[in-house]
Amino acid sequence: MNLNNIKFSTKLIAVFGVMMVVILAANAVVFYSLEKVDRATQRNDVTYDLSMDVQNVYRGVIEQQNAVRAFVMGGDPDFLDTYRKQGEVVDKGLANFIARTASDEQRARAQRLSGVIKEWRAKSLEPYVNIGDDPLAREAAMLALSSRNLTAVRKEAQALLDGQAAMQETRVQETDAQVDVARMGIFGGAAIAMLIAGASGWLLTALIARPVVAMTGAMRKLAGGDNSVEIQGRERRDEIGEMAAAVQVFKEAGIEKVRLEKESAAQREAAEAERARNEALQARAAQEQAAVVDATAQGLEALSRGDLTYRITNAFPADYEKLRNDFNGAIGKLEDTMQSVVHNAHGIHNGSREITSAADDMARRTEQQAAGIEETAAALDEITATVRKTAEGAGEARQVMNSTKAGAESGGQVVRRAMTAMSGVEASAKQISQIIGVIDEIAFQTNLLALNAGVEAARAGEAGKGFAVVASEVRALAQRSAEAAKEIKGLIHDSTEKVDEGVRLVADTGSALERIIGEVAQINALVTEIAQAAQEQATGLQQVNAAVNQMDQVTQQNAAMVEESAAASHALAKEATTLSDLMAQFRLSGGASRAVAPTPAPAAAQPRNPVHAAQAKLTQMITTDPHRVDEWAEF
Amino acid sequence: MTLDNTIAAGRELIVVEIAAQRFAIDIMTVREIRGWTASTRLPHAPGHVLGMINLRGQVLPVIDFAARLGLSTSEPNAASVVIVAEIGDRLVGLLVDAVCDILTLQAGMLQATPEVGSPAVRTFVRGVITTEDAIVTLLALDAVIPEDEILAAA
Repeated sequence: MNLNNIKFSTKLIAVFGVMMVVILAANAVVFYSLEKVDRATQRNDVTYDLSMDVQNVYRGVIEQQNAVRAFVMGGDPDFLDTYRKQGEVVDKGLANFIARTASDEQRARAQRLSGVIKEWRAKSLEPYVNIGDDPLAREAAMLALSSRNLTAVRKEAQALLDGQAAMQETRVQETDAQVDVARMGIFGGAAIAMLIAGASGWLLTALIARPVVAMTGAMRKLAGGDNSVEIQGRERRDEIGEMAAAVQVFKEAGIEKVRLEKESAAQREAAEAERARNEALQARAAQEQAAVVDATAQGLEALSRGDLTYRITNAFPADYEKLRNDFNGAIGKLEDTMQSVVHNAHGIHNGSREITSAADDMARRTEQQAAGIEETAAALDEITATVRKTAEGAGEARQVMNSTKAGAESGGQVVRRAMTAMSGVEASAKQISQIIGVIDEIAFQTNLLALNAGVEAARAGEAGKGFAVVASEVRALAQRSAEAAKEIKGLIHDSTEKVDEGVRLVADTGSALERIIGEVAQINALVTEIAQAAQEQATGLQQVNAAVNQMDQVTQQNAAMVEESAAASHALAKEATTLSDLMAQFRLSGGASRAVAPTPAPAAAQPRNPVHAAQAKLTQMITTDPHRVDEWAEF
Repeated sequence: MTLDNTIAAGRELIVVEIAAQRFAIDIMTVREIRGWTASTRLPHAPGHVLGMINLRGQVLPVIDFAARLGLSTSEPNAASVVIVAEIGDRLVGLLVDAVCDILTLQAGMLQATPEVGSPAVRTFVRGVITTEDAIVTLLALDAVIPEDEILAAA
């Protein structure tokens, strides 16, 4: 990596960054050493406190011994309280030491001391605490207490204190070592920082100040007009490189300016030569133009006279030859067009004649159409009359049917009465038959009596002769009576049969009348349908009437249009003649244009209107008679 | 034959109708003529015995005369007549279709029974009487209804 390609700001930041890192590292070493010194001092304080605790314990032990001795000597129980309080002080100090010490060895010693103290108390002090007022016992106790009892305790306590002193010594040594380290950090860091600062100053001078001075010299030469100066440091990518590139641009701009001044002088000389050449050419062109204008003016004069056969024959200068050709071509094209116009005018004339004859035909056909519509209206009239007759016939048929129905119903009543009468006759005949039966029976019995009388008369012999004659007469009467009864019976039988037949026939008549009534109803329905059909036909006729109206209007419009067509065809023929006259003013190579004689068109046929009469009749027939519609509606 | 002797001219005959045929019976054998009344049937009686009727307290048998004569029988009706005949000492009712006439026998009216090769016919028929409109067969009533047969029937 080339240092010349790094920006000034980056260079400065890098130098100061390195110095800051060195200073931070030195400070970190010092801070670390001070922390360690602080921790060692704290531990030293604890060790000192614990040493004080051991001394307190030892003093408490001595206080206890003194208290017991005083109690034994004086008997004052206050010393017992002192003994107990000092015991608590000793136990608490020991417990505190065991809890706080950092050394396992010291903790073991403290525990051993605690055991020795307990043993000492139990053996040397407790037996004398409850001693009474006995002087002998007290004497013995005083003697016992005077001996050296604390040897073991003192030895252990001293060992503990020695241990504490050794630990304190170790702490002090550690603290001194850390202070040395901190001192080294401070002086070393300062030395390294100084070294780096010096190196950075030299490096920055080499990288920045020298190139800037060189650049300043180059710029001064450039300002004095020396464009040949070489710009150093253009390959660099820092601020010096950018400055070199800008100064290079100034240099190139100076070179370009000199070149442009030379070019503009050359161009001015060329323009001057061109202007002189142009003036000579313009003088010759003006001469040629005058000749061309003369020839063209002659051609246009001929054209204004209507002479389309004129052509410019003299050759023009080369630049104007196209003008001559175009003029001749335009005149030729105009002549062709005029010939076509004359031809077309002739065609238009012929066409207008054909249109006129077509208008005549159309007028004639419109007349025929009007006649057809008249016939249609007449036919419509007849149809309307027929429909009306149908409706009237249907009404009469209905009335006849009604009377027929009434007759049939009264006939049915007559039949029922006849049947009742027949029943009466039948009943009477039955009664007569019964009476005849009685008469017949009487005749039979009379006959039997007459026979018996005859038998008796025969038995009587000669005496009964006369009686026999009487009996014979009676028998004859009885027989006649029986025969008469038989005849009447036969007659009654015939009468009954005939009555039965009459009843049957009357019943047949009744059913026939019922059928007639039913059929009359059917016929009535049919007649109603006929009336409805007549109504529908009337509606249809109204529609037909409307259609005829429309046809009439269309015919009228057709007639008007035929008139307009005829007038237009006249105007067209007149225009064609005018066109031919205008064409005659032109002289054409194919000969003079022909004038077309206008042909008078026949007068447009005035269409008659025979439809209106029929229309009026039909309208009156259908719409002005509301009663007829009502009649039809009845059905 | 002793029959010709007993039937002489001037004798009166009752003419009856049986199965559209006419038969004559001597009036002296007839006791009474009466209308048909319903008869009471007798068990195990012969086919021609219709039954018995009550004649003023006296019970007498009624015979279907047509069946007895071998003619087609007819159902009795209101016009039928029962002739009470005295055969021997017995009274017998004879059912006939009708009583037609009382005929007085004139001389020469009675003719002999035609020979048909059957003795029964001669036994039953005494003779034939011709009238204006029909041939009347004169019956021998005591031969038609024998006494013992009547007794047996009664």
